[in-house]
Amino acid sequence: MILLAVESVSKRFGGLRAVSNVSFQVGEGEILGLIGPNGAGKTTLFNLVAGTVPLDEGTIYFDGKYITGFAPHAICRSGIARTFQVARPFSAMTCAENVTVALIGRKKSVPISDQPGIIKETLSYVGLAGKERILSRDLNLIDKKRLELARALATNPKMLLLDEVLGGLSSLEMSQALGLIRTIRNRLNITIVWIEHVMGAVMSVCDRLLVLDQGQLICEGSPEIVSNDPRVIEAYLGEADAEN
Amino acid sequence: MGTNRFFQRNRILSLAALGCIATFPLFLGQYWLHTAIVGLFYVMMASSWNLLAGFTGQVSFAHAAFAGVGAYSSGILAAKLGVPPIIGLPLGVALAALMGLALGSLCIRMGGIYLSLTTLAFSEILRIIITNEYEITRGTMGLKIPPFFGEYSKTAGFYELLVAVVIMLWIIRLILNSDLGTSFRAVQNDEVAAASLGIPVVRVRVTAFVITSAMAGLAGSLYGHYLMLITPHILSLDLMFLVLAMTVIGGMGTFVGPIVGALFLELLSEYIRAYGEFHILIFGLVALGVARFAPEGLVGLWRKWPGRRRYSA
Repeated sequence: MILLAVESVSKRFGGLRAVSNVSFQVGEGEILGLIGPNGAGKTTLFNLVAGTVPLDEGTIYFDGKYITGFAPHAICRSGIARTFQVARPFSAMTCAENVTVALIGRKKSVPISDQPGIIKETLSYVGLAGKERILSRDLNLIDKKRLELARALATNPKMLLLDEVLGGLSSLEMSQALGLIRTIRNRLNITIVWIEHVMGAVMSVCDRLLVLDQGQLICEGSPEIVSNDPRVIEAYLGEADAEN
Repeated sequence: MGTNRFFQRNRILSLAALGCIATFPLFLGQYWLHTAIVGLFYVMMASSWNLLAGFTGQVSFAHAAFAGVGAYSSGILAAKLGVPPIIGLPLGVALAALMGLALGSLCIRMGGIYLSLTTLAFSEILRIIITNEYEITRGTMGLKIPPFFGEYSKTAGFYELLVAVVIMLWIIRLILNSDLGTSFRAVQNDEVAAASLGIPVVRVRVTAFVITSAMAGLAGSLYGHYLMLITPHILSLDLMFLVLAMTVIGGMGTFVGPIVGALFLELLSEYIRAYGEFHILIFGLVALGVARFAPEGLVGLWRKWPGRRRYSA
């Protein structure tokens, strides 16, 4: 079943076509990887889907509902949660309070009496057990990313947009993170769209890949197909190398 | 919730303090009773401004203007149309809330300095209108208005403001401990992240404007009926900056800060009144220093103090 349908979406920033005429679909339960060179428009595409940046053209359907042009909070309430490339914790608030915000933001906000239980559960799920009362600005980079994920999960999403969660992680932390991403899909049944630069991770975890280059969708398919596609190799390595 | 625990631990203490304050009219002379009343007015102004600026990050310079809206609405209704203040006051509060809704909606796309400038302009426009509409407001001559209840008495004025202060602080505490309070702080910390988690940022920001404008309207209206003479000074930037200095010096973004700051600066300005209007300038400079070196103000310093002693001991 199709969960997200993006049709002919475009976004310009002045003269720059950040995303032009991109269409794709995400099936329920899928882990879809979104790759492409720097500046390809991956994060912009995320921002368009999440409503963080208004789109110029195109339509977006989620879970059978028309969500084009919705405010970001409304899109979140319809079931799309996201993380940011650079973690944006509410720095003057504790970890528990950070998660509380997501519980309040739900379509039916969680009553105060039920909040502590869910907060504790969510934080321990991402590996932040016992850090409830620590101010989020005092966390290290990895814990900030974990908190970002905890908040996104606490919105009770159907789909999760992950923007480069692996950046800056050591190889051990990376394998933990990959395990977490798999469990989120397998146990919580959350569909995942994932921007990532770490190719090995993307290839091993994703069911399907989309490749963006200069704002355009240049290739789509399973990791094997994509990694052998000449257009993709060209986009990453340049024309001369592709010929060899 | 540091503030929360601080207050629960000190609930008995604060009730005792309230009891002490309630006996002020028994032994304070007229002059100091007046000072106490002015102090209570500033507690309302600083605490409500702090809810807007310190908890949602909207540094509005129109707070004194909303106090003026409250004071002039119920004042004009009472003086010109004979409407009793008990009816005029809620109308003034409602009008302040309504104007807060309008100004808050105007500022939704603005942050930081742009919001401050827009609210500053709004405040000055309102002050100029009230100063020049001589026929209705008597301009800088001041408008004579009746007291809130019956005859003029400082004791009655004191208790009116004290009750209002207690109720307002109670409401602010309720808000801060509610989901709305958490939304306020989320919006202040990071609007984009808050929106991505389902927080309706625009509605939260405007709600804060409406609530705090109503509070300023209440404070201004009660204060006007106590003074029995309202002048455009209540809308002036002098008063606005004094409220700002009180909040910053006391501790912006904390519950207790503005209370401490308002009482402390009001008391201090009575002692240094002899040196003329320089005290506003000095407060401004001190506020600047506090904002730079001790962002949580006196309250923050006081909280850090025991910790620092532990290290040296």
